[in-house]
Amino acid sequence: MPVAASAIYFLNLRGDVLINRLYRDDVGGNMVDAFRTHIMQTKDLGTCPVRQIGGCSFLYMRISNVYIVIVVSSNANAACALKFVVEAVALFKSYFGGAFDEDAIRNNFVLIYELLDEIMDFGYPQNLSPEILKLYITQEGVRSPFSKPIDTRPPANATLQVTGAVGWRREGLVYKKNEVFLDIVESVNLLMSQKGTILRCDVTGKILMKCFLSGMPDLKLGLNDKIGLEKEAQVKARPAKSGKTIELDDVTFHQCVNLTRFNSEKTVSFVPPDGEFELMKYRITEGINLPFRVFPSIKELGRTRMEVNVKVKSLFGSKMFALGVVVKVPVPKQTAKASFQVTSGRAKYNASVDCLLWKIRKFPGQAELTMSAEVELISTMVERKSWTRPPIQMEFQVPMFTASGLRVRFLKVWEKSGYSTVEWVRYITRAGSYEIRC
Amino acid sequence: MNADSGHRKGEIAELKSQLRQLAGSRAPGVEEVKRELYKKVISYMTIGIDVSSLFSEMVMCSATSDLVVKKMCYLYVGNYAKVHPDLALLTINFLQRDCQDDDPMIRGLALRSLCSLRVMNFVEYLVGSLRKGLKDNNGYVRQVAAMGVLKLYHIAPTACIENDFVATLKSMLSQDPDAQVVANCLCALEEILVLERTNSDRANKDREMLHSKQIVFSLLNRIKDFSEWAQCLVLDMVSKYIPVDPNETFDIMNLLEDRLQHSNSAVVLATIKVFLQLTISMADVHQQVYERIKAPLLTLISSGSPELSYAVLSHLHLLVMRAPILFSSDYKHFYCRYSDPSYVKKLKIEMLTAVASESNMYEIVTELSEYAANVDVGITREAIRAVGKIALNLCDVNAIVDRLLQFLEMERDYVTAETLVLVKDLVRKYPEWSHDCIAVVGNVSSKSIQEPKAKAALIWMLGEYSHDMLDAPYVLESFVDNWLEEDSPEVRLELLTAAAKIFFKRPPESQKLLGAALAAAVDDPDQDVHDKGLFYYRLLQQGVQTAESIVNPPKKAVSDFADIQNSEMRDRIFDEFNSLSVIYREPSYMFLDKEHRKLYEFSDEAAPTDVLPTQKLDANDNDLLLGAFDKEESQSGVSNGDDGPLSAPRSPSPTLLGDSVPPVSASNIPAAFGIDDLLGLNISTPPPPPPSLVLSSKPVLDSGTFQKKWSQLPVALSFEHPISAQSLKTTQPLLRHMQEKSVQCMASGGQSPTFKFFFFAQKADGMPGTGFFLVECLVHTSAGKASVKVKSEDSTFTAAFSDLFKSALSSFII
Repeated sequence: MPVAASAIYFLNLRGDVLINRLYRDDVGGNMVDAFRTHIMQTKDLGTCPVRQIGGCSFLYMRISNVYIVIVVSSNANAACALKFVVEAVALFKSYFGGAFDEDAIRNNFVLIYELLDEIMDFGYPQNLSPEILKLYITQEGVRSPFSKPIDTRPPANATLQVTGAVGWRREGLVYKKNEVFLDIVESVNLLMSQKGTILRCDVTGKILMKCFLSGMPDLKLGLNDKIGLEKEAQVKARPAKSGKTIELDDVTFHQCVNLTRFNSEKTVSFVPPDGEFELMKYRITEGINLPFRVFPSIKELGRTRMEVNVKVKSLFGSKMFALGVVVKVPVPKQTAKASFQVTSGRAKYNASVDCLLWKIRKFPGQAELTMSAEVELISTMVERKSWTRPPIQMEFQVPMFTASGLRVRFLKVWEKSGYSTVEWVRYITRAGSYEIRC
Repeated sequence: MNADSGHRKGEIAELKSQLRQLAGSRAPGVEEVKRELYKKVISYMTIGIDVSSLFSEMVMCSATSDLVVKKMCYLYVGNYAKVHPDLALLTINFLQRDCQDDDPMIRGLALRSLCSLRVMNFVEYLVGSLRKGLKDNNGYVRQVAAMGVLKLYHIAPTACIENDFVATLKSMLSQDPDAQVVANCLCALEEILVLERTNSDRANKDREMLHSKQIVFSLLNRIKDFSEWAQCLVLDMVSKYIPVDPNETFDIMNLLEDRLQHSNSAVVLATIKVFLQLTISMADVHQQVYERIKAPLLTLISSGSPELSYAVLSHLHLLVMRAPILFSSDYKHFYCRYSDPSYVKKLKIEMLTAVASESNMYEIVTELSEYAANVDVGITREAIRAVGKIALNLCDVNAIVDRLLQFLEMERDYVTAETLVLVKDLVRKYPEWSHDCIAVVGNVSSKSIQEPKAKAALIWMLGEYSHDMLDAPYVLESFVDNWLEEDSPEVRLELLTAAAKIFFKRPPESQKLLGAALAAAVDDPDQDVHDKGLFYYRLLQQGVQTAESIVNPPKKAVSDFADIQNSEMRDRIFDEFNSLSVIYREPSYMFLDKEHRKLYEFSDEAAPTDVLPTQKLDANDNDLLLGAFDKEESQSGVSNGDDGPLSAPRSPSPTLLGDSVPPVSASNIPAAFGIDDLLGLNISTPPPPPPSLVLSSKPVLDSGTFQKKWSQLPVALSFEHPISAQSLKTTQPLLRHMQEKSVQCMASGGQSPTFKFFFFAQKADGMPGTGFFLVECLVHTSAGKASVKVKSEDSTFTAAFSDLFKSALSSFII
C-alpha cells in the first residue's frame, strides 16, 4: 500500500508540537511522545531519517528550526513520504513568501491546517501544486498587517481548475509586458586528491524560469546538448554545426514538459506555469571545465607551528570574474593564532569552525592568487597524530560561466494572439561541494 | 501550575461567553470577530489544551458564509467528535446541510469532515451523503467522496460492503473523466479489497479484475493526466500486473519510459519498480533495465535533501547488492562528500564495498583509507570494515593487506581494534599472509586495546600463531593475571582456548599460564567459561594428544564466510521495492507483524526493536565471524550437552579432581609434568550448597567505605535484565522500590534515558560491617534494560543475591 502518512507533526527543537494532523486512526496520539523520548532526546537524532519504534515508523526531516515528522504503521512508500514533505514545505514557503520556520508556522497555523487538509486525504497525497491551491485556499499568509480584505469565496471555476487537464496553469492570464527569465544555475562538485588528481567531478545543473506571459503560450527551448543537436541535424538534413556539444548524463523535467516530444524530437517544449518554476535538472560528468584549481601545501613544523600555502588559479575567461570566493583551510583545534600574507582579499582565522578563511570578493579570470599563513599551535599533551586534515573547501559564484559549457541556443514562445516577448537568459556557476584534500 | 490552569480556565470561559454572544448576531463585522475567536480556540487545541467544553458554542456559531471559519469549525469538530460522540451529533445537521450547498467547495469540505468524524453511530447519515457525493457533478466532491468510501470502510466495513460502494468505485475507476477522482477510487479499492480478501471470494475476484489488462491499460494510457502523486499510485498498481506475453511488457515499458525523466523522485522510483517487476523473469531484459535506470538513480542521489537521497540510496543499495558487477564502473558516484551526513556515508561505503572488483579495487581501497582518517568514529570503523570485506571477497589481496597493516600504525584505539578483528579473519582465509600480519600484530601493545571483540581477536592470534610470536606466552600471561578485571566472558573464553593452544606448542613456557587460566576459569562466574575450563581440564586428563587433537586440530583456510542475509530474504525485500522494507532491509512482515507487536503501546516486548536495524546487522556481522570459529572447535565433539556429570556446575565432583591422572606419555611433553602439578589446582572441596539469603532491612554503610570496598572487590557477576522503566524520569521511584526490597541506594544520577545507581545490601545474620553486596546498576529506559554489576564480600551468596536483585527489578513498575 503506498500510503504516505498516518499522521504528520511539526515540532520545534524543544519537541513542542506546533501543528499536527492525524490522517488515520492506525497510529496513537502518543506518537509524538515516542518520537521525543526515543529520537529527539537521544544521540540517535540525526543518525538516520527513518526510524522504527514499536510498530510505527518515523520519517523525519529538519528544516530550519522545525522538525517535520511523518508517522506510519504500514509498510509505506518512504520515498514518496519524504518527497511529500519536501514539496509541502515548498508549498508553505510559497504561501508565506520565503522563510519556513517556527515563527512562520505559529503565525500561519490556520492556513497550514487548511493546506494540510487539501494536500493529503487519509494518508494519500492529493494536489500539491501551489498554482492551483492558491486559487481556492485564498487566505493569504500573514505577510503584512495591511493586507487587503480577502474575498473568501473561491472563483466560480476554481474547483474545475483543481482537477483540470493543465494542472499547472490557469487560463485567462494577462500581462502588459510579456517577459521570460531563464537562469541556468550549475553547481560543480569536485573531489581532488592530495596529489591533484581528480577523484570525482560532476555538475548538477538546473534551469530556472520565471514566466510572465499572457494566455496559454507554447515554449520551445534549444540547448547545445549533443543528442538534441544531432537530432536536429538529422531532421534538417544538414551537418551538425561544429562547436562544443554537451553530453547530458541524465535529465529530469518539470511536469509541464512534454516528455513524449522530448523523446521523439529531443526538444524541450512546454506550456509553462505562471511565475517561478524549475524547468529541468541535469547531471554531467564528462568534459567539465573546472573554474578553479587549488594548490595547497601544508607543512607541520614541529609541534607548535604550521605553514600553510595555498595557491588558487582561476581557469575561466579573462573577461569574466568570480564573486564571493571563500577558501576554507582547516587547521587543528589547538590553533592559537595565525598571521597571513595574501596577494588579494582578506584572510583570518575563525576559531568557531577551526578554519582559516580567505575571502576574495572579486576574483578575475585567468589569474593566480596566493595566501600564505603561519599558524601557531598551543602545545598540548595530546598526541598531534590525532588531527586528521579535513579537505580544503571552496565557495564561489561565477556569473556568465557554465562549468559544463551548456548554452541556450534559442527560446521560442508561441501564443495564438501572437504577442512578442522579451527573453532574458543568465548563466551562473556555483560551488557545490568543492573539496581538495590536503 | 494551579494559577496557570486557573488562568486558562478563565480564558476558556471568556471565549465561551463571547462565542455565545456571536451565535445569533448578524451585526456587521461579526465575521471578523468570529474568525479571531475561532483562531484562538484552534491555537489552544493545537498546543494541547482541552477546549472540548466549547463544543456546543462552536457548533452554534458555525452558520457562517466565511469559508475559513467553516474550515476551522470542521477541524475542531473532527478533532473532538471521537471523544464526545453525543455532542458530535449536534454537528451532523449542519454538515449534512453543507453537503447540499451550492458551492462545490463547501459540499466537498463538508463531506470530508463528515467522513472524518469516525463515529460508529453516524454511519447511517454518512451512507446517504456519500452516495450523493459519488454522483456529484463536480470532480472535487467526487474525489472527496471516493476517499470517503475508504474512510467508511475503516469505520464500518459491513456498511460499506452492503451498500455496494465497491461496485460504484469500480465503475468510476474506468469512467470518471477526472483524473484525481480515478486516483482516489484506485487507492480506496486497493485498500478495501486487500483487507476484504480474507472475508470473501468476491473481493478476490474484484481484486483480480482491478489488476486486469483492461483497467491497467486504461489507466496507463491517461497517465499524464494524473498528478505526480496519483501517478505513483497507478504505477504501484501496474507493478502488480502480470503481462500475458513479452510484447505487453515492452508496450508498458515504452509507455512509461519517459516517467524516468520526471523530476519527482517518487515517480521515478515507482516507475523503476514497474520495470523491475515486469522483467523479473526475463534475465537479459532485466539487466538492460538496470542499465537504463542507473542514470536517473544516480541523479536522484546527488540532488535534493539528504533525507530524500537516503531513501533513494537505500533502493540503489538493494540493486547494487543484487548486481554489483553492473555498477562496478560507477564506483566514483559512491565516493562520500565531506559534508554528507553519516547515514548517507554509511550506505555509500557499503556500496563501494559491494562494487569493488579487480579493476577498481585499488582506487576504492585508497578512497576508503581516506575515510579511515575521518573524524567520525563510526565512519572510520565502517571504512576499515569495508577494506577488510573487500580483502575477504577478492583474490588479489596483496595491496590491501599492507593497507590494513598501516591502520595498525595509526595508533588510534578504535582503528586498531577494528583492524585486529579484520586481520584475524584475513589470516583465517589467507593463511599464506599470516607471517606478514603476525609480524605487525606482534607490535601492537595489548594494553591499548579495550574492546572485547578486538581483545578476543588478538588473543586468538596469540594462541594460534604463538610459534611466530616470541613473547606470546608473556602477553597471554599478563592477560590471565588480569582475569578478574576482564568483564567480557567472550574474551575470557578466548583466553582460555589460547592458553590451551599455546600449551601444546610451547609447553615449558606456558605450563603455569595454562594452570592459572584453568584455575581462574573454574572459578569464573560465567557459566560458559566455567564449563569450558572444566571441559579442558578433563580433556587433558584423557591425554595431551587427545586434547590437542580436539582443541588445536590442524585448520583449513576458510573459503567463504557465511552470508548475513539469505537470498530468499533478499528476494522478498526486492518484491517490496519502494517501501520501508528496503530501508529497514527486512521484509515487511518482520516489522509489521501485529501478532508479535502491539501497535500503540510501547511495552517491554516492543522495546528491544529500538535498535536500528542496520546496527542489528552489524552485530550479526561481527558475531558471525567469531561464532564461526567457535563452531570450528565445537565440531570436534564439544558441546555443552556432553558434560552430563557436570549438571551442578559450581561444585565439581571431588572424586574427579582428586583422582590420580593417567601418566602423560606424549612425545613432545616431558613426562615429568604430571597433570596434577601442571595445573596446580587446589579445589579440594566443593563449596557447600548456597544457603538461603536474607537481607538486613537496615544495613549501614558510609560512602567512604563503599568506595573502598568497591575498588577492592572484583566483579562477581554482571548481567543484563529487562526493566519496565519506559517513563522513568527521575531516579526516585526506583530508589524507593529497591528500598522496599532491603536494597539501599548509595548514590544515583543521570538523566533520562540513562540512569546510574549504586546500591548496597547486607546479609541479615552477618557480623556488623561484613557480608555486603555492592551493585552498580545502569538503567537504559529507552532500551528497557538494566546492566548490573554485582560485587560481593561473600561469594557463596552472590548467586542468591543476584536472583533477589533480578526479581526486585522485575517487579518494578511505574
